[in-house]
Amino acid sequence: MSLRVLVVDDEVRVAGTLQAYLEDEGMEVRSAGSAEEALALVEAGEDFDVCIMDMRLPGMDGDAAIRRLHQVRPHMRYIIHTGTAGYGVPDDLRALGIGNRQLFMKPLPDMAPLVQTIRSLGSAG
Amino acid sequence: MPRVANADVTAQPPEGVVDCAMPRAIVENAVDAILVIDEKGIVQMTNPATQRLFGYAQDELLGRNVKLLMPQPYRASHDDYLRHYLDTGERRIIGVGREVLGRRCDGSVFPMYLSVAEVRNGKQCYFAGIIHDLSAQKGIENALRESRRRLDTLMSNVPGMVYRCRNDRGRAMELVSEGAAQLTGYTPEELTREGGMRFVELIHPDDRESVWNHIQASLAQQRPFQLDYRIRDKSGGEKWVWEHGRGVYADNGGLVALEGFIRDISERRRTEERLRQSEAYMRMTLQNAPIGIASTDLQGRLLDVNPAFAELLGYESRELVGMSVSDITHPEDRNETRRHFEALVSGDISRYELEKRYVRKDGSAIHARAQAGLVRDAAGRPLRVVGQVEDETERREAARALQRMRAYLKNIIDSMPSLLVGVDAEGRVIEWNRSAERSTGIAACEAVGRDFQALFPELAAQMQHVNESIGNRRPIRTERLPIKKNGETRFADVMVYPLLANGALGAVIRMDDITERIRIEQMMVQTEKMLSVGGLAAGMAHEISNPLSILMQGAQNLQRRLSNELPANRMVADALGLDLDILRQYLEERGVAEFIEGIQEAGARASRIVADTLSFSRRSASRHTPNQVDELLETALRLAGGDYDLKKKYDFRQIEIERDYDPGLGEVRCDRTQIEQVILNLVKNAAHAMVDARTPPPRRIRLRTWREDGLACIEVEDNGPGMDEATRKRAFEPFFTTKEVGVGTGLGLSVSYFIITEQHKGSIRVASRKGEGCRFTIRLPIAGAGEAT
Repeated sequence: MSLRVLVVDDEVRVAGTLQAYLEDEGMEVRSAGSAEEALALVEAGEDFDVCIMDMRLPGMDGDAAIRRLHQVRPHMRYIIHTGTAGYGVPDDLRALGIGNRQLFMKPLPDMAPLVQTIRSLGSAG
Repeated sequence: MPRVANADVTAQPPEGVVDCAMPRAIVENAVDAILVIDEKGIVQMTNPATQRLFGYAQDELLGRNVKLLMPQPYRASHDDYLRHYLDTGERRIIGVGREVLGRRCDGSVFPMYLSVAEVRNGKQCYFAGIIHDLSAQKGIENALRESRRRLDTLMSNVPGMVYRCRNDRGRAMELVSEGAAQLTGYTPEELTREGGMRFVELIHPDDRESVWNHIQASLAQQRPFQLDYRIRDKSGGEKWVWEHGRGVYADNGGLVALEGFIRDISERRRTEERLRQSEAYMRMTLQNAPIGIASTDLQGRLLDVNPAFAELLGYESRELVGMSVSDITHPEDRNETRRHFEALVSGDISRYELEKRYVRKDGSAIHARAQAGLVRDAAGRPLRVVGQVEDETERREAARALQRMRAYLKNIIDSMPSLLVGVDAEGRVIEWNRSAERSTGIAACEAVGRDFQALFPELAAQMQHVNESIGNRRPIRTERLPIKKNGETRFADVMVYPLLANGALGAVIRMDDITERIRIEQMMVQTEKMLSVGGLAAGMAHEISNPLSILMQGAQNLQRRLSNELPANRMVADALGLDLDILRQYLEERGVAEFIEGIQEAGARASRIVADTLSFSRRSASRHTPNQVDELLETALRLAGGDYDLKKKYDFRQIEIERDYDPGLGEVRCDRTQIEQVILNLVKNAAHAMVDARTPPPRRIRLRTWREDGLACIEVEDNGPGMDEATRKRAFEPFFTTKEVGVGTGLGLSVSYFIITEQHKGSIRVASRKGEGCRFTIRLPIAGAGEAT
């Protein structure tokens, strides 16, 4: 059973390159261009092991999206992938188990460490 | 009857005139002169008294005309007189007698009383003259008259008025001397006539009663009186008079009158008043003089002291009187005082001045300056010694304070970091402070008096400012004046300001070397720039990170999907009938892989720049936590050891790391990762420099820490190639790099500078010389930068 990953990023090509890499790693990947789209997918019945979430998004931002998604899919794990300098993980998200290890700053010169993190999160879940 | 011939008549009186013995004896012995003449005036007989009186012998007179015995004018008229009598019988003397003048043999004239009797002898008529000498009697009268005249002269010349008056309130004058006119303005006549000016009216109204009372009281005791009072003279002027008088009493003891003398003493009163005022002034002066004044007798005993003198010595004035100068003189100064005092009294010196110590009543000593002089009486004999004593304690204290103040001012001038040169209007040096000595290598003692331009050719142009500044009485400021010295250009702020106080003509040239400040300013300008870049970068980071992500992730995907190892690649290639090995050869031959690598490297570099730039954004010091300094250093070293580039290209393990940590340094509040970043940066730079410069082994990096004035000091020193002056100065400039293009971002040291100075309020300095290694010193406040950044 391959890992199911949801990539949320308003930049289609960022989401696209991540999706390509992860699919090459044998994962099942879906992309969403906004928090609302991601929520719609989940509420429509889709389920994921790990969600890679951009923080700055049009409409609902990443933090809020994680809180909402968590209510719907409590088992889902998150990786924060942001380009915002000096971003710190809010305390309530830390309480959901999102630590510095799950924080990846854009741009990623190498996506291999990201894959490792997804795998460890997915296997733990 | 013919007259008897002269020849036979000797002493015989004419016949019938005197012819019995008794009358003859009377005539012969009479005191008065008796002589007989005939009607023609010819002398017929004389007696011895006649001869005595007139000084002629008898025979010299007999037969001669009696006119011989008369002075003029009697002589001339005598013949006429006789004839007139004989013709008319009209007599003047005859039977009457009168005072006339006689003439002696020697020509002298004298008064006499002449009585003449007519003697008839028949028809013959004779005249007998009896002459009484009045000389003696006349002498007494004359003397009396002379005496009166003298008295009158005296009284009228006496300066004042002699008077006699009745003893009543009016004091109407019976008699006053001529001096009354001068004294009162009224003539004696005006004062003495009935109904004239009464003397009491001249007396000042306020004094009338007291004058009356005084005189009556004296009279009651039958004593003379003396008193001063005021009068008003005729012109209304006020005068002070002195009256001396007494009562005149009759034989029965009754008071008849007052007699006395009044004179004008206004001048004396004025003199006395002036003297009184002068004395009052002297007394005031002495009482209020701020310096002690005392007089002593010739033995040095105090006669009189003023309050200041008493206060100076802590005594009451009366306690001091009678004490000797020696009693209040400090024992060690007594001999010298005595020597001076004796020299003064003996007249060897006219005055003396002495710095000496006195002993106060409480036993404490005071320093004072004493001056003394001799007062002599009218005859020039020494009378007493007058001395002035000034408390020197305060003056000495003031002198010491002045000295201290001078030293202090000198200290201020010398301690000034500014170069300070005082010049006069001609440009000669008057003041030359220590900074000037240091800067020029010329000592102040050599510089003073010399021409400023010669000593300071770099500032020669300032002389014009000196003149201008003195002329306009305004300071002139020159900012950022470039000064070339020893081949280096330094910058100075020069201020020329005129000396205006106390009329001194001159100016002060103040020079501050601001080269360092300008450098710091430039650095701050750069920092500010970078801060804004940082702020901009933070805003842009998100936007830039996405394209970079696409770039790098795309390149990574590209690289992976062109390889022949990925199973998915094979699957797709097989489906398409593509030989991946041939594709791989193609890509290699066309160098596609290198292009992809190029994209990846470029992306990585761009991300580093973005990351570095982001370091310039301000962060809150609240994230600062206490950290062990040596742990920070060790972490940085570990990161350096793990750095791929350092490991592969710079052979980091070949570099000796020397540690010299202060075990007592303890913790510093700081942002751990930032400080680690700074140290790592320094270590990497050192490694890069040594490798690039091919520094021969042993290559060494020395890390040292210590504590200094509440600062944690961290030193990173290498033995690499060092920096030249120009590089050292620009080391912290953003985008300044000595590395090859593409190797560094040019931001490492400026980020470090920013982190240390801005984020941690510390300092970072570099010391280096070409070929002698490089040493960075970081100082961080142990307590941290505080909340505000």
